[in-house]
Amino acid sequence: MAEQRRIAIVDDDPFIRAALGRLIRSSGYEVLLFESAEALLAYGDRQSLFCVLADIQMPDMGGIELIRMVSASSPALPIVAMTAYPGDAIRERALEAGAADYLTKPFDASALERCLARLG
Amino acid sequence: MGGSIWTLIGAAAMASAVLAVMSLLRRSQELRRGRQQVRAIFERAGISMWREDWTAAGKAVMALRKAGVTDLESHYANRPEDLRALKARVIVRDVNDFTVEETGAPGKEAYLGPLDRLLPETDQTFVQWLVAFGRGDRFFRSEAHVKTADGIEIDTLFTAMLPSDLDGFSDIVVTSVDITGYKRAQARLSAAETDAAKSSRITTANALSASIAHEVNSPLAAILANGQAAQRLIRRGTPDIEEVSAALDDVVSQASRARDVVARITSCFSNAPGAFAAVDLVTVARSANLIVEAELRGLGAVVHLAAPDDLPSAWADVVQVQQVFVNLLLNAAQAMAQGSDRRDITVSMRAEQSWLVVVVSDSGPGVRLDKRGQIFAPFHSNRPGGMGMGLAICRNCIDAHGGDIWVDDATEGGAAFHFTLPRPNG
Repeated sequence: MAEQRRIAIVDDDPFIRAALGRLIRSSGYEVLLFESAEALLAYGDRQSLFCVLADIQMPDMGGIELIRMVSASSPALPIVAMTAYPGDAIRERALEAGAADYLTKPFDASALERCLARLG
Repeated sequence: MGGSIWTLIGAAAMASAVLAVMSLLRRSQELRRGRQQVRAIFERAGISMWREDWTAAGKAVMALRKAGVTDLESHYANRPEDLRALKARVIVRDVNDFTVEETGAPGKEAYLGPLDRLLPETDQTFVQWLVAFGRGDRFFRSEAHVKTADGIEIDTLFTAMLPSDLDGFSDIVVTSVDITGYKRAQARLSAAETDAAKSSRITTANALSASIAHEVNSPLAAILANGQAAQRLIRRGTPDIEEVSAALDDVVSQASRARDVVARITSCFSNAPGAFAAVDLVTVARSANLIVEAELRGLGAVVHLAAPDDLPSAWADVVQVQQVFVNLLLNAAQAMAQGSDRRDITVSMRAEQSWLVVVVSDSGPGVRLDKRGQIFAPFHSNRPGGMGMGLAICRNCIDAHGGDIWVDDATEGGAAFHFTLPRPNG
């Protein structure tokens, strides 16, 4: 059996972390949950990740800063930005910072799967 | 000797007669000079001066006073045609040279004749002259919007000494100052303030709606992801019941979270304390009219206010009630914008037991019976680009007072919006 692709979810909302974890696992991925940007940056095995799903609005270090740091240190690791805020401004900031894609909450399983498929 | 006495007496009489005639001539010349001076002052004064015959208006006011009519404004608000007819019977008899020079009219004749030619349909000051007559005022000052001889509308400040008897109404001297430039500057300042306030409101509204969206979207995201995960887990050959159960628990908890967010938002807005006090609705209606004066004039609408002198106060929040009047006046004017020349809005008020009843009626197309239940709902608009919040806000404000708001047909066609407000201790 082929090794499962590993996806990291970074979100300060424990219910969203848990829900996305369940959904992504049900699509056949392995899931790692992080409650903050700092926790992901402290994770030493980032090269093993297929991608990161990161919330934009988080206390302390926000998602935009996380995207910039990961893009700089691990340019091959795609980050998908997520936010529950409406509007294009945040999406543009995330893409400018280096996000590979963008999802507006709430998003359904098919939107998530299309996004992951685009990442390869 | 006797002959010479008579000759002397005759000569003295002659001399006296000559002196009397000379004195008369002198007085006549002085009078003529005086008239010429007055005429010269009238013609050359650096201010526009008009001589107007208001006899018909004076007679009409006196007849109404005699018939026991005390509230002339309400009387004419209910009889706009009578008011228009009266306006046509006020005659401009003369204007000074300065008026002709200032406005570039071809001659005085351009202004002479019935006053109604010079007052636009939207004029609201004529009735105030009648009210001043009725009160016995000796001085009148009013800003009015008038049409010059070449059809350009200008703002003017009229001032007049009013007569104490009917004879004096045949020749009232009115001075007029063109304040168009001042009014335009005032309007630009007001528009800039309105734009700044609107921009601030939009920024606040955007920030607020984004914040609400975030608070609601977050639990929805968890609900959607848990729900779809549970669907997948339960459809597997060997369902992971424990994980499905955990997902459904989270669905329930996140649905409750969303419900609480909505309840918090609702409570945040509905708990704003209203400043309730005894309020004179006529004053509030007038101030609302002033706020939207320019918009109403732009839409060609005329507001007539009818309320009895002894109208009791309402127990109300001034700001909210003013907003209701503003919305209903604009709504009425916009409803008539495509209609006929006559764009009358009548605001009438009356007391009924422990309530005050206000009716804002227009002469527009009215509201179809099947639409009357919907128009007070949020985001319902028949106007292109309209937000559809005006009447919804009215309903919220009136609900906050425990009153009622509804629409039916105006007596002479058009729509009539009714709302009720409680009286103090009502």
